[in-house]
Amino acid sequence: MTDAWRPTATTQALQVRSDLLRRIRDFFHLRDVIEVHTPVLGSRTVSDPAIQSVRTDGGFLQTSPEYFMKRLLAAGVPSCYQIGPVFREGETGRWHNPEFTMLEWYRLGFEAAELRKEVADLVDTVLGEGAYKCLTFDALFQSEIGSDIHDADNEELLKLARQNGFVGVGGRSEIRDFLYAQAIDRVEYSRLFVIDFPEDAAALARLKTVNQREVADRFELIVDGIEIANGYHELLDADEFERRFNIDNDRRRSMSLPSVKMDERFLAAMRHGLPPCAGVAVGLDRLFALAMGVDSIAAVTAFPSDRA
Amino acid sequence: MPSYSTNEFRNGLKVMLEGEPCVILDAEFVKPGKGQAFTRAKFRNLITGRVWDRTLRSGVTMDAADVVELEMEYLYSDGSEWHFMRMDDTYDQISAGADVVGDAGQWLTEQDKCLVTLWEGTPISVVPPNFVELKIKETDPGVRGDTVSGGAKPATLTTGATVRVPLFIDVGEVVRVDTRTGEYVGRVRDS
Repeated sequence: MTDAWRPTATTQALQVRSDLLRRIRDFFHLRDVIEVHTPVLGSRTVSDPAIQSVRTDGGFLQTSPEYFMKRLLAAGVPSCYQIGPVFREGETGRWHNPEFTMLEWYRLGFEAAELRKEVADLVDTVLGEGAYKCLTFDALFQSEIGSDIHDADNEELLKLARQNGFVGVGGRSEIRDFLYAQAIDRVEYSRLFVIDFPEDAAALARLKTVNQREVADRFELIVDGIEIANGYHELLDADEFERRFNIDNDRRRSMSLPSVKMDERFLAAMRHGLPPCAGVAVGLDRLFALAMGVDSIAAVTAFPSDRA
Repeated sequence: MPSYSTNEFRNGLKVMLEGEPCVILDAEFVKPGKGQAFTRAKFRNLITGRVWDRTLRSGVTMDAADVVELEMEYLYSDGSEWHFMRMDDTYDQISAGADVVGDAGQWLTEQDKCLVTLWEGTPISVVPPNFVELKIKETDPGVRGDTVSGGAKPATLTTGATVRVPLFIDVGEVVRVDTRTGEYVGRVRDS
């Protein structure tokens, strides 16, 4: 471990990283999207039960700049982007680090499809041009797992999961998460947008009705099996936000996770009115790793958590 | 036996999976969009050698497998059982059936040093030395001087194993064999 003081990324990788960051800033500059900075340390944090925040004496390290950026939009700031560190406790692996670099941006007046097009343009800027396939969550499930996610009962889903290598037991949403992970791991398309997520996985996306079924107007971009972007046609309804917040906290309690306090300032901004918009977050370390053809984010990160 | 949480998984860790001892070959943290975190791992079954791909919910634990690997000296075979001796101060002996010894048996001569894997004290696999030197028992007569044609012929060794050897090799000569590939490596000159 005598080399533990050294960065895990090569000097060349850090130079490429710098070039790519400049290209991304140019991309937004040319589109009149302004760069903003919001706090990394905040008094409140996200309620999502699948995301654990790093808690400090002074508050929470932010897991995404979403709430702050939406407060800016509600206050009249135009379409904007932010590049900065975000934190997720306990996420460590080849494609995870508890601190990582997020690019998040919001586009006033955009719907999800327009934002997907812009995400593809940005990814083309970093990785070079490529073809994009778009599949609904249900269609992906059907083609890769061979089952209808809605028709299958819990027992069938668990059986399907076991056939796909799942060990143990789990609830419906957990099994669904597992099968989704298997599906994106084996899908043949290099660049794939998955759209129309189950409504209970909406987070802060709006719902829309497709084939008489409510789905979340949310998308993910998967590149070579790696999740790169997660975007929403943003929820504007403050009451619905409160309702989802309470459901999250109930789930947190049932999972013995600490509950989260309501972010009153964010709620007030939602009540004031968020302009119609779409927003997306991109994991930049992963995107840079793909751009450089390396198979871990450590190779493009100066000091991952075990050297931080 | 201790147990290991998925976040302690690392290559080489030995755990119980579906009632059988396995070694972890690879483990990866995966977290599908906005969902539950999982650990996806490859396990090699230490009894059958098969590799299993399995995914566990992050944070669950697996029991450690009581598996040890020992360097042991091969003593003799009585036809049904193969006998080995520990090389530490205990000189304990254990025996393993043909199902456990498997293909390793065809390379072993007395006093060879083997790697024996024990699960709860019972042998589950035997790995012979990477290279063994064995005498040719049977083969077609050697073609004198033919050291360049590159031709080969089958030869039976004193342990019963069959390997392909160059044409110039004769009965009674000693050859060196790589047990991992079963291939002839060279002739051993009389010393």
